[in-house]
Amino acid sequence: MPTKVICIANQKGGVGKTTTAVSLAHGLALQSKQVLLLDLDPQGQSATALGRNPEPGIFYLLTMGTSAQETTFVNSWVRSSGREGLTLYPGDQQTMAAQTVLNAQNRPVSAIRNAISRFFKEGLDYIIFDTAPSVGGIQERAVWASDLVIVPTATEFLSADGVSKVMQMMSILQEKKNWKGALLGVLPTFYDEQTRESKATMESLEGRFGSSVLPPIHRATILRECAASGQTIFETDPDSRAADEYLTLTKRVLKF
Amino acid sequence: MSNRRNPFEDKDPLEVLLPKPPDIYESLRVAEPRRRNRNWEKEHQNQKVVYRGVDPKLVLRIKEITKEISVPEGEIARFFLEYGLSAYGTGELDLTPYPNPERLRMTLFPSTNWIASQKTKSSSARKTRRKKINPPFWKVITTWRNFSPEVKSEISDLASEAGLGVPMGELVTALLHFSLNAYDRDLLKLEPVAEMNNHKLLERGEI
Repeated sequence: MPTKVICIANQKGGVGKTTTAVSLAHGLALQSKQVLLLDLDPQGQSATALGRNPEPGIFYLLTMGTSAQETTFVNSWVRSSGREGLTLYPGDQQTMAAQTVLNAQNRPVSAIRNAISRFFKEGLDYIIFDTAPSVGGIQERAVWASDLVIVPTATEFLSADGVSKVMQMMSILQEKKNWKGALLGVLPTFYDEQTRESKATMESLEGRFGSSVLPPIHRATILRECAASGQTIFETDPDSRAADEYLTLTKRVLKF
Repeated sequence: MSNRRNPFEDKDPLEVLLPKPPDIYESLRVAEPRRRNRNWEKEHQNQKVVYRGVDPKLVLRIKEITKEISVPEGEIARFFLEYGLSAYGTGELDLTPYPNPERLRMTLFPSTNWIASQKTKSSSARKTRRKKINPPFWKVITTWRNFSPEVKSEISDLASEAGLGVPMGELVTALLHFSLNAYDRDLLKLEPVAEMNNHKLLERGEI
């Protein structure tokens, strides 16, 4: 199977993008897949969530060329996550500078796809992007570089409203920039069936996106504790509902 | 009545007056689950075994070991069967077939079948509410892969009329029972070796 690139994207912050990216990446690795997680968010929190430090790897990946010497240097930023099958390509606040460079040099929408193509012959099953909650260069190029996009959204009005904006961006990339990928699904997060707002938003999502709405991830304190301890949900509490829900997501992804 | 707006439908009254863009979601490509490629299965068809009547408890135990040591289930089953066959070859494992009172063939487990059949007959005579009976072993079908043709033929030869003349499932059950017993008593060790893959990315980065 060729390497599948999955982007976790939403322009709205605090919807569970990093938690989803990290949990999905580890979930796939636990299913004996080889996964590379690219932290395209300048906050560098994918590394933190896996118990590592943010580093400027993404800056070099996005700004350097593909000569043998540059490739050697770029590859030197690959980091072990300490988990079988899961490797990390870390980012930090310098990723913002990379975005400026990409825009200043008017690099094409395919810039990230070209940059990661060097990893396609490494025996990877999945490359997963954790993206920043903003637009302006990297997110569009990350979506364009992806085969599949998952859009996490908190089950509350403003977050759901943000989903439309991501969809619009994907639609434009498809129509105007010949993007070949597709939407894998909308992932409702922070779901709480006890609150009317959460339930109503869930109904709105299902009414709008139908079968593209993935099974929800419930609001869970343990997911916040995971980030604090540098462990994934499959390590902190593999028997929890949150672990079960992310396992369901992982199994869904394996079907595509 | 709730005045909650729908994020995907309700719009500002002023916005309604503006020309509407085409529905973005309708034209957006949605991923379809990929069709499973069965080429591997086709190519390795000769390494597949299907046995009827293997004790489900032993099959579950093999599944548990699979999870513990991350080795394909078929490889573990094959290993245990090979161990059982080798023990039978050295005389360490005694497989004595007995006449099966229910059939013309022989059986390795005369008492369990006999008891089970007796229980079924007597309980069906009484029309009282009783516990749900598990399906008989012969209804349970077990499939494993990664079996060499040699092991497959050795088992089928031994089970045939020319060998012990017993059902294949019973023979597999007896072999697995012996080997799993040895494994659980630490007399038999499984030492998995990491499979080589072409994932070399980390070699160039920092561990």
